[in-house]
Amino acid sequence: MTAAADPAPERTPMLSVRSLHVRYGAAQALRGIDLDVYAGEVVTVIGGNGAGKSTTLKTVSGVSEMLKHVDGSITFLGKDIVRKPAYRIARMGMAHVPEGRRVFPDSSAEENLMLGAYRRKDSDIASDLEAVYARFPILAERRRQPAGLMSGGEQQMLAIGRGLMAKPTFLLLDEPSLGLAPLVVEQVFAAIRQLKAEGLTILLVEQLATKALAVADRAYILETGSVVMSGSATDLAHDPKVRAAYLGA
Amino acid sequence: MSDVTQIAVYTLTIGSIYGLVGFGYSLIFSTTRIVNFAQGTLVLVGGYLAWDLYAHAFHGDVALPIILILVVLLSALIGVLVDLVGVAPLGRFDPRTNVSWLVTTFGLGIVAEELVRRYISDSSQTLPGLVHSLPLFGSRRLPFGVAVSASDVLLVVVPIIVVVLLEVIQARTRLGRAFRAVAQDRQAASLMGINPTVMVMIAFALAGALAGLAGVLVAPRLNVRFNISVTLGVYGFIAAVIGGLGSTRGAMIGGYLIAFVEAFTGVWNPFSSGEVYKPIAVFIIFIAVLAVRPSGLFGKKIVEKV
Ligand SMILES: Nc1ncnc2c1ncn2[C@@H]1O[C@H](COP(=O)(O)OP(=O)(O)OP(=O)(O)O)[C@@H](O)[C@H]1O
Ligand SMILES: [Mg+2]
Repeated sequence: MTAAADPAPERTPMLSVRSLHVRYGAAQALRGIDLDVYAGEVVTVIGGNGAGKSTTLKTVSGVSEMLKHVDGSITFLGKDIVRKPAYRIARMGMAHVPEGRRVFPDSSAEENLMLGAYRRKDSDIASDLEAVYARFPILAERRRQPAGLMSGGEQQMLAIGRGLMAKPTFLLLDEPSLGLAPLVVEQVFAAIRQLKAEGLTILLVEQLATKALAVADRAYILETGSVVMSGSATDLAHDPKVRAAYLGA
Repeated sequence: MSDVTQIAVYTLTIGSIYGLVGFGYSLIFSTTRIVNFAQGTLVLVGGYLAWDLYAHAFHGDVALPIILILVVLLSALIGVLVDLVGVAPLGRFDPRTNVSWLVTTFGLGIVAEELVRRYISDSSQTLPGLVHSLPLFGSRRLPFGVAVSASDVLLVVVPIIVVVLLEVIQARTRLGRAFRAVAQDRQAASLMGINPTVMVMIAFALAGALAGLAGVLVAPRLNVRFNISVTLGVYGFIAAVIGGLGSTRGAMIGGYLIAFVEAFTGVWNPFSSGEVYKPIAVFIIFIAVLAVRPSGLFGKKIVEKV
């Protein structure tokens, strides 16, 4: 089960990563990763601490400080984006909700959301803002409050909402469950399921493997900078090795 | 002249200049986390540019306000040059561990000063007041016998207008919001599609413009001379740090505070000659404020991001 089950072999992937190597100084964080995401899919990347999950997302979205030490190719919507600056990649329709949320702490919740829509010029911004408030009602209550004073769960919803305000074609989520109470984790995964139902393409990094595999179509398992397994999420969820290592079974 | 009014006039005029220069430091610090050591020199450059335009290019027949506008625009360009030559080429760097910016900004300040010496003038010059009279305000005597000129009024009013205007732009406009986003989290801002390089360039342009403005406004009072770059550079920096680097109104408040301390020391001093003790008093206040509030009066703690 090493080759991912290609969901639609005749189509070209929305995102295609080939032989990606990333180095932090002398430390090799990624040792040649291949990864594809097709339009409409939810793909998850699972792995332990330090496996290279965030490095993968940061290199794809261009936000990494280490772009000089990147080798390999990344193609998004048919264009080579490796080493492109993050703001250009964001303008192509990729929204990265980073690990640790990274909301703008001094700005209000609403200002944060509006910054998500910074590049948009269409007339749907106001209705999309209302849609985010409908999706996460707690944000509507906190709209005037500085984001830095919000709880972790509220900040996570704000970070996702901010990403959605860009009206992305492709959403990167880095450990959206990190540090959240179980009930709030449920809310976040409910939101991901809903986004999937709406047809959004998502690349989800998670340590909560059970939950991630339950929502994803396909999955990659990352260990010390290499993909050690990949395939359909249901297959991986039933694989004995995966169950032993990541599902606590 | 009454001591009280003398102190008040000094505080409001010189304090606002310290504040303008400090505001420049703050703008650059908040977007880049570096201190632009060329900032003081840009004040001097602004003063000499104004004098040169006044005395040579236009032979004194162009209204000084037009010269002011020209100098502010030129200074903004010089600010951008400092960024393009001294800071942008350093790439994405961590300003805490990679301190090349210290050398490049300081070095560019020296270069700019030497260019002024070589091509404009190497001695003190005087620039007449920007305006000889303002509507509703000629040069007049206030109660207590304080003489206040029209250019002093500009010195007090223009910086306040500029700072308020920039604060409103930051809070209300799309560009201002993008600027604040970069100041809060440069990487997260770039994920919003904001180009941080452009915002940093805007910060340098504004800081240059503010320094040039300060140089022209202060000229009728302090003349156009070389040691102004050190005085205003250092005091502007202290104003920004006291106010909280990164806070806009903080720099202004810091400027008024240290000008007040200077004026106060000059007037009420247990020792006879106040001049010598002014810098000492300023540094004591500087250290006292930092001891109580390490991130300045209006500064926020810089939270380290993981
Ligand atoms: N800025 C950095 N400088 C140096 N090394 C780094 C840096 N960022 C990450 N690393 C190293 O690269 C490796 C991969 O890190 P990465 O953050 O991608 O892991 P991760 O899978 O996201 O882990 P976690 O689940 O803990 O978030 C780790 O060994 C980490 O120590
Ligand atoms: Mg991570």
